[in-house]
Amino acid sequence: MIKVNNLGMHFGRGRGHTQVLKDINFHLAPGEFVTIIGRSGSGKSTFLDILMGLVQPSEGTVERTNRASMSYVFQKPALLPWRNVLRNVYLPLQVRGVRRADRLKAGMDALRKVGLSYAAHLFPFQLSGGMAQRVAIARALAEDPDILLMDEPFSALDPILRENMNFNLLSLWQRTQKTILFVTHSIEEALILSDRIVILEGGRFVQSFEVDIERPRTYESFQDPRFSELYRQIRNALPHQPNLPRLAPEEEEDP
Amino acid sequence: MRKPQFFEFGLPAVLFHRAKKVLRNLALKLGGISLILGSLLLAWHLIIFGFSPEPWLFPPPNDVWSRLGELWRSGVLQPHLTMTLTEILAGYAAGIGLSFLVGYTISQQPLLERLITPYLVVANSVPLVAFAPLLLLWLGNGITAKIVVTALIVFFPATISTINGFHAQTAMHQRMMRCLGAKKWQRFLFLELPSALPGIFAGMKIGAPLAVVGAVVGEFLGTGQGLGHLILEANGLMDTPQLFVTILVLGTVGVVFYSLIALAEQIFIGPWAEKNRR
Ligand SMILES: Nc1ncnc2c1ncn2[C@@H]1O[C@H](COP(=O)(O)OP(=O)(O)O)[C@@H](O)[C@H]1O
Ligand SMILES: [Mg+2]
Repeated sequence: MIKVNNLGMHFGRGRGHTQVLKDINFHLAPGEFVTIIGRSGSGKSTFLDILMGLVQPSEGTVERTNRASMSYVFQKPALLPWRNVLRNVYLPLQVRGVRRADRLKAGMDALRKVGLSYAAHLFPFQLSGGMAQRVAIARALAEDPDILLMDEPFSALDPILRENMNFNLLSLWQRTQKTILFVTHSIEEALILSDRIVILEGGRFVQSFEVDIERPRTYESFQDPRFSELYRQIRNALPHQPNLPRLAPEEEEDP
Repeated sequence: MRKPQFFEFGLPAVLFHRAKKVLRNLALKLGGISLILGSLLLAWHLIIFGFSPEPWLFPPPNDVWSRLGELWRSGVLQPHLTMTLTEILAGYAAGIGLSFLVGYTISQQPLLERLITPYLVVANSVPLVAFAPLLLLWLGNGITAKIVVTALIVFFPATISTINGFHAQTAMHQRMMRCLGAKKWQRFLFLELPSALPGIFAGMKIGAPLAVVGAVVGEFLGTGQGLGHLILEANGLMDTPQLFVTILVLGTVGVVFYSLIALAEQIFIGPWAEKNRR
């Protein structure tokens, strides 16, 4: 779907010069769910912006196969406060000049996918944080994109709601067969969602983990031995408090 | 599942539902207004009853009423009212229209804005009424001069308000529109204009009573028709009831005009304007 070759990105010049991304090679296969984990300011959003074509990379190329289409979901829902939910959801179609009747139908379909068709006539200020973010996801789905880019979409939600939204997203992903590139700070979130996790550190993708936890994932998956094993590995790949020891591998049980 | 219809969810539907709500609120407000007007009328009667002032100083309500009836039936009032209303509406439309174009243009050019805004603020704090004699001198005593005076008085505060309105959009929404691949006119229609509406309406509300002032001041200076002229005439003849009638009519015009703008604002700008933006 997407292939990134030797990508580099820097901002400013002279004393203000910052190299945000360098030598990035990355591949996103159709139907895959990949998550990027990295510290704040490590360049995750910049990477998604480049994929979306919002900014041009300083070096390297981004290839998209078969003109795959993309939608972007941000950390904040960014709904237009003067439009009701349905009119927010069909905005992308309106921008593309889709006829009224068609965008209405597509908008309703998208709302149904996130379970919010009953809220079509509400205004953004009448929604809870979780509902608003689901509307934002419906807006992204209304375009029926091949790829969803999701930049910390659930970071502003409380942990329980966030967990529920994760399972929501998983079932959506399974039903719609989208390709998803997801960004988060949360290792748990990444593990419960992804096929593959890449770590962005110092402007590079330093490590990649295949998440071989059984699907479909449920609340039980948090108890899966692979979950804690992968958690330990990923945590150790991320920056540490210098005076604390790293997580030790779990004791092998004697046969 | 039933097929959704555009008139249930589209913009016309939203505006229709809001209009219904707004009109219901309006009925309530009208009740309140009648109460206040009733008390004022009572106070008027009490002053007459308590102090019995000379009618040429402070006429009783009945004199003013009957004078209003006379002026209306004899057809004296109507041409003056029509003239003043024409000046108000034309001057207001011109002033607001121009403030929209100029305000939008300035808001799109940061350099231009830095250069011009200080002068706008200065122009706004100079009593523009003081320029009215000059304008009548240049443009003659016709209706044009009065419309220009009105437009000018409305223009400056409305422009400042419009510029602020066009800065109300958030970076987050701009980014979202860019992700959708919106063209310039679509960004204007779907984001910039709706974000600017509260600012634009604020300017229109400030401008409404100013337009009435502008028209009357223009009429004070020139000769001819209009409620301002009627005031001068009544003043010259010491016809206090006619003075009261004219003031009442002007006040009503101002209040109704302002209320209509406020009503339009409530219909076009929903409750979202005051709530948290998301
Ligand atoms: N337009 C820009 N100009 C200058 N620096 C930028 C710009 N955008 C991002 N950066 C810098 O790039 C780095 C990565 O930012 P970002 O991609 O937002 O990080 P993340 O999303 O991982 O938190 C930050 O240090 C930020 O200051
Ligand atoms: Mg970010």
